[in-house]
Amino acid sequence: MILSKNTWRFLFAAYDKPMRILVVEDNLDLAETIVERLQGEGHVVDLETNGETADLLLKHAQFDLVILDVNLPDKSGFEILKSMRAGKVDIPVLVLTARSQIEDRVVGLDAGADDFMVKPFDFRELGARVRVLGRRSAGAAVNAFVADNFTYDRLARRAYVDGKDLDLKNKEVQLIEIFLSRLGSVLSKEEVADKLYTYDEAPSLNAVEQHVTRLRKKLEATPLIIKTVRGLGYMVYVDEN
Amino acid sequence: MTAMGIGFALLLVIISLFLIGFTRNAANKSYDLLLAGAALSILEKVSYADEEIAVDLPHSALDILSLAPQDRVFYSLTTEDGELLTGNPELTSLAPQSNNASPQFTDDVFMDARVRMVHQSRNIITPDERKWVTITIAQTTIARDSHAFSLFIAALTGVAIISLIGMGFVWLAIGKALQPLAKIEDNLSRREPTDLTELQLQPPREVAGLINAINGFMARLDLARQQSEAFMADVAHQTRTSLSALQGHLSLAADAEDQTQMRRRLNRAADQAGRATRLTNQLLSHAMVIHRAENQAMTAFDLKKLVRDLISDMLRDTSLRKINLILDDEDIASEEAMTFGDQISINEALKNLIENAIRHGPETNEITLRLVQMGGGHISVEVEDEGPGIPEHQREEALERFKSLDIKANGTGLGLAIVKEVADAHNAQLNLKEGKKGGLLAQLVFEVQRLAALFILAGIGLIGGPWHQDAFADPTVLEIWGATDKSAFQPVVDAYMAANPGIDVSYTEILTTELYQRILNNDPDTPDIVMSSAMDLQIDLVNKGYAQALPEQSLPNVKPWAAWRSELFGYTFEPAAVIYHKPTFEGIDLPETHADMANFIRDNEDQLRAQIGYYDIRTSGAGYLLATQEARLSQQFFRIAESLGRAGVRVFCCTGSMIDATASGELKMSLNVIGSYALNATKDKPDLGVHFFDDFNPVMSRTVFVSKTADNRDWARDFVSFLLSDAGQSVISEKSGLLPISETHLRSNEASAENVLSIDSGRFVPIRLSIGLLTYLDRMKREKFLESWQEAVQEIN
Repeated sequence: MILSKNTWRFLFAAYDKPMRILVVEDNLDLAETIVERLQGEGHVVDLETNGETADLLLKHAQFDLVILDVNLPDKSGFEILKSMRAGKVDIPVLVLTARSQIEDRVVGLDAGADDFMVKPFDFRELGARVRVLGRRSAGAAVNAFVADNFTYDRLARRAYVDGKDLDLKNKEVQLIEIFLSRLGSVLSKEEVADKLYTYDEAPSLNAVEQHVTRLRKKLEATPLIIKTVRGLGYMVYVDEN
Repeated sequence: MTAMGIGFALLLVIISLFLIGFTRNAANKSYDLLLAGAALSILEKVSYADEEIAVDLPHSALDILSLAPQDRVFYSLTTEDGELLTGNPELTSLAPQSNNASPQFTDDVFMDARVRMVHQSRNIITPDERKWVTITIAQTTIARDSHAFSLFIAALTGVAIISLIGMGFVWLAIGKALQPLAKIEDNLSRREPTDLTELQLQPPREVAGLINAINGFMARLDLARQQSEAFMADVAHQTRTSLSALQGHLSLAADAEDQTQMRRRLNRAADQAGRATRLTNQLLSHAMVIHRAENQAMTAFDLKKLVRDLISDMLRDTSLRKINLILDDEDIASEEAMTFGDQISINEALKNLIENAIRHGPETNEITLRLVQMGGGHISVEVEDEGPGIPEHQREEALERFKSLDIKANGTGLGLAIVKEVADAHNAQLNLKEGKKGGLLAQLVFEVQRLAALFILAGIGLIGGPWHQDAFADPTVLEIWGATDKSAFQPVVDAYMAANPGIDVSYTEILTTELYQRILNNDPDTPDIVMSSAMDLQIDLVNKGYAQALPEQSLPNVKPWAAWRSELFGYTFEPAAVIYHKPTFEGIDLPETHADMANFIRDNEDQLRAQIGYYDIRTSGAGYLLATQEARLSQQFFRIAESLGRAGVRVFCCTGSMIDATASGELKMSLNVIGSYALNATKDKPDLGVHFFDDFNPVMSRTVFVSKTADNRDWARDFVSFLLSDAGQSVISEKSGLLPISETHLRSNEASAENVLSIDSGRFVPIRLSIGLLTYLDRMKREKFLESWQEAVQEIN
């Protein structure tokens, strides 16, 4: 069965579905521009300038993404993040920080942030990161990942390009799932091998390379790019151009 | 301050070492004179007579040596054939092989004691040949050690006083020299913070260097301030220019005539905002790196992990997806990449290098990050791009602030300056080279941290508990060997046992010579205490190390003449006396001096024939001692001996038999008997008279020492102190029939009623316990003395 692109979009409605985003930022000027920008991209955006209220809000309301400033007057972004993760709230969080120090990155990622950006940032970049994070999770709710002509059905564990089944092998399916869960981040070859192979199988870096090469070939016509960072590993992202 | 203290202590040690050598030398020089004098005086008395080489040991020799009162003395006289003429046979082994007429001094150990020895030889002419005779005298070093020590202390005190005075001067001088500093302090404290002009002081030479240093420092500070002002001006210029441009674009956009024009101008404004942002970031980064370098926020970290994390972070940026980043770190295992430094600064530096590589490279740039093991504990991080690179002559310039070489590349001119700051703060090298593909290769070379294990040797266990000797091996029996009649001494023993219940004192009476021999031969039954009236033999035993020292200050009634080396102590007063048969001398005054006695015997030799008693000094130790001492004290000794010989003197073994014979009238008189026995005998022998000379009467003392091998050391010491104590002296005075050595008890003794028995009276001349007593123990001396005596008394029975 070959379905049209639009039919797929209708069926899974993941890619274009506007996200509900909470922006926690105390600087009103900046906050307004962020809100306007995201609204311009079609998302539903709530703004909260108070950390304490934001914390409460996150425990009761449903959001698809939180953009969190670290430096809040009453409760730091990290505290909110920790309290969220402690309460099993696993909404993706993009942390905004004004300090480019490693500590902030480490603390942020350890506390459970999915991404972080250093102020001042490019708004186009912000939009791109929001989309990446949105893709990682939004599809999960409807069990499908959609990027332009590419669709991955998480339940059926099948990938389609322009509605056509890619006939992925078992390991390739696993690879896709690993990559989609870490979209936009670098995964070292060792990490991939660890996830791809069980204890019983001998993980071979060469085998990983072969699987990746084969998968990359199958995804050639899609916006899903498997970028090789030589010496380090892979990064998968959606090419939006 | 500590260093000065250590230095001063070191100086004191050096001075002390010098002083020790110096004072030892000085003490040796003084005391060697004694040894040399003794050796010379002995050698002078060596002569050839009666077909043999003989020596008449001079009393002066050992007397000279007894000027070191605590020291033991050994001597030997040998011929060049190794034959021992007289003296200590063991000593010959230490004598030198060569013969030298001048004294040779050596240091050695003899009888477990350090000794200083003198060796001197003399050529003796015999009818057949010339023969070398060598005297070797060894003296223990107690006196010279203590002399050296007191010299040392005196010298050190001098040094200390001079040091203190010197320090006083130093203190004054420092105060004086530091006066200019107060002026500097005053000058500096009154200055405005901006006033960095030179100090205008006429400094003394001592602080000129300091003033120059301060002025130099202020000049550098001024330069740094000027640079900092220039930097501020640069920063102000750059940011204001950037913001002006932004403002300009924005106002142009606001005045735009149509949408297209406005959009174009807004886009340029956005670009300008991007540049202003990057400039701000770089300025902050630069400031942060400098700040962190000043605060030394260094830790050990894994450089490899840092590089990997940095790349992962940078690649999150969607704008960098086109860039081809290559990591080449396979040269390094992560444990080799442990580096000491500030992670944040290094991260910043590498980020700048990568951003530079991106900015200056082509669209399809390939950037390689490389970790290379350099050897010698160095590791380098390289960032290589495919851009145009920097021409060699501009590389130095590229590191300066606000020097952007390529205007089109939109650089802030701070990137490499930041990298340079970080490299400097880490003592790392920043090299700009040309890469293989023609691009720039920036290389940062860090030192890898070497983990050196530090072993601290701690805790020096002090092993060896308190040295314990069971001094009370058998606490019940205290063994005493003595030459005094048991009946006379038993009351003293009884009194001691009464005062110390639980102690059994076993007193064994042994004749003086046998006692001497048994101790000398290390008799297995050697007692705790040895007592004898033979002072010379006792001296010899102590000299040979058979006694142990007692804490002298704990002993009462110790007479200086009757104590030696804190080991040997006299506890009785034994004057030599003349006893006579009272009825025979009714109405006749006995001679008052020794000279008169010689005349008296000669004048009455027929009446006294075979009726004068005398010790057989060939067999009696006490008799020999009294005779030799009398011979030393008086020229009359051999005159008396001659008179006695003409009067047909009879000789006896002991005082007791002479007393009995004299009391019964069998003897008219006896000379040189032990006065204490005689005085005691007058109680029940009314016909016995005791007479003392007016010129002099030699006084012996019974002596006691604690044996070196005493099992009951503490009880033995206790017994000796009892003997000398008032309690012991009182028992001796009242119950033993002996005379106490204590002046107090001696005066109260009933024997003092007729004759004041006191050393202080001058009539009673004590025989001193000293090395000098060994003179007449010398084999040759003894033979010679007995020969002379026998010649004088002629035929004796």
